[in-house]
Amino acid sequence: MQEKVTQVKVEEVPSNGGDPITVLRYAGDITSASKVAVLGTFQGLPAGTRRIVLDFSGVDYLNSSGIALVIQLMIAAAKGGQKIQTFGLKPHFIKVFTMVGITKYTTLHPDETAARAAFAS
Amino acid sequence: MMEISEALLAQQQVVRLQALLEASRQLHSTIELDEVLRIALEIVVRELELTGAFFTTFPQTYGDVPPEFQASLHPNASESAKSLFANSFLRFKLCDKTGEPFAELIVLLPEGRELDLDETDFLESLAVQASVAIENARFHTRALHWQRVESDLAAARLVQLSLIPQQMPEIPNYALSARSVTCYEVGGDYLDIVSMPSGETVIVVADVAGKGLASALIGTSFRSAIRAMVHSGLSLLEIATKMNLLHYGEGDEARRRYVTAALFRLDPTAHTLEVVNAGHNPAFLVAPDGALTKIPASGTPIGLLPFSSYAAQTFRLDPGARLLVYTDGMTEVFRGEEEFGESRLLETFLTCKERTPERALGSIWETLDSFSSGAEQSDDMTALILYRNANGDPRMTEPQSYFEIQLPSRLGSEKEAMSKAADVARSMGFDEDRIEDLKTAIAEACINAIEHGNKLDETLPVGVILSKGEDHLEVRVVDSGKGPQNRRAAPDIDKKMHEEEQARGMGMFLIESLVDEVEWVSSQHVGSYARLVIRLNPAEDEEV
Repeated sequence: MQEKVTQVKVEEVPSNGGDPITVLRYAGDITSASKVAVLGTFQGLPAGTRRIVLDFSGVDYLNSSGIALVIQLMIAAAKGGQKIQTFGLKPHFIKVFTMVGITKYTTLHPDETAARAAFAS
Repeated sequence: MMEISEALLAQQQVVRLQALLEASRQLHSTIELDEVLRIALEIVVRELELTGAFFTTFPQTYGDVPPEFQASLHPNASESAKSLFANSFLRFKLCDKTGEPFAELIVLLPEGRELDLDETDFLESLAVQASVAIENARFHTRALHWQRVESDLAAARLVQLSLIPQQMPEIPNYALSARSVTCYEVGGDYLDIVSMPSGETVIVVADVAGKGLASALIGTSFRSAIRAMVHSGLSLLEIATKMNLLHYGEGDEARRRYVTAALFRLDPTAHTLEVVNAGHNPAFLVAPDGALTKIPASGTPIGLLPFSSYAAQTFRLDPGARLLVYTDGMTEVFRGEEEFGESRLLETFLTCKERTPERALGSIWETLDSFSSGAEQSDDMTALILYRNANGDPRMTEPQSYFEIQLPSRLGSEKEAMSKAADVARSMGFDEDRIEDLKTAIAEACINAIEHGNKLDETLPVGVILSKGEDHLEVRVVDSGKGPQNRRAAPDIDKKMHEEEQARGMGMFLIESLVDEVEWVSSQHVGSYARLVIRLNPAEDEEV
């Protein structure tokens, strides 16, 4: 029942034309204890990262403090002119993200292909 | 010539001012009282080349201060003693912030030495600086002292809390619950439950006269003695009689802090309850048909008189029988001048329909709380309720409808509540989507309780109570705080993204959005709780 540590993997994937895409793949829990994993990882991305995909498919538990960290990440990205696409949220968290209104600032895609394709449009 | 001496004078004044500034700096460089006194006296004697100096009311002296001189200052000193040192010293008053003198600086002059105006000015100013520094140092000493007393009390409280039964024993066919609240850090109420190898359970509810630390100390010693006697196999009557003698024999202080005690021995096989009431409030025993027996005191409180005449009574407990034992803090809850009183307590207990002792206690506390409008109470409050389960043990024969778990106030522990609630909801037929909603709502309520209610103090538990209804599940998340002070507006994502609103602070909103009913209840005695209700068929329940 212990809180699971947030894991995050940074992966750079090529894109069909345009800037490369960086995928942040989260796994475990995203809570108030995930500041380094969420914000730290984001801040550590190389300069010039323009396109970011957030992959939540490995996330089992996400609470309001965790959502706040995602919002802070999006604020920082907006300031840096970075674009964010999101996928992999479990249906319940899609509902929660929608309630909170985050969907106004990032699109929740059904899968990774759709998320990556969205940068082209 | 004139000009030169004026220049010299001015120079001297500058030197004195510099000396005074330096003296002030040194005096205020420490908050240790001894150090302040030493520095002040040293400056006085060295700077002005005096014989000696000291402060009245403090033992420190500096330089040459003959003991007979100090004696000559005593108000009762003889005239000849006084005249011996006349004109050889000066005194400067030290006053506190209110202007009240609290000591004097006495300086002894070398023979034939007279102080000029600058020098007495210097000493007067120094006395003022010393007053402030001494006051600060004394305040600091007092603060340190209080800190120690406070941490002592906190430790005592932890010890006392650890002596209260942490878990209710599992007694076949019976359910037991107790609650004890102190009005100060530690209290004089004593509650104990001892499971005997025979399967019997001995229960003691007692109240030491007085409150606070002194009564708590007596309570602790009472506990040790009574536990030893219980384990030695003595009867309740023998225990009460011996305890009385023992306590009385401890002397005046113990006698002043006599103990009213109700002792019970429950035999869950024979379904009998033996009672000795030593000067304690009557316990209420309610038979399944509602017939009430008040179990009155059979003698004086323990330790009040050297002799005693206690009597033991034995009652039969039929299925559905209920017992309430309490200390006088429960009846002496006040609304202005009006006391809650025994009859109101009895009525609350008689009319209480709660099916478990835990909930019955909760309901009694809520009644007391609403009677007093949550006002701070001035006595320790302890109550214990015992039920003989009706028709056998419902925990064995009926599916359980009530679950209580305690979480430490540590972030992450909410997952235990989520998992338990999910199990209960699943057993009731909730679909997985609703279960996810419930899990998130409970998680947020627990996080609020941990972070805001209990302020992450791991010694304070968060209680999560799940009650199954026919068509709904009710969850109470209880903490020790005062409840949310203000309701937050729904989060505004645009404001958040533009940093006009904190990124955090969505918990209450999520709870309200995800369950069918939410209520935040604050209460002085039982802490605060969030009450969440989730319905099996929300659409049908809504009155349109």
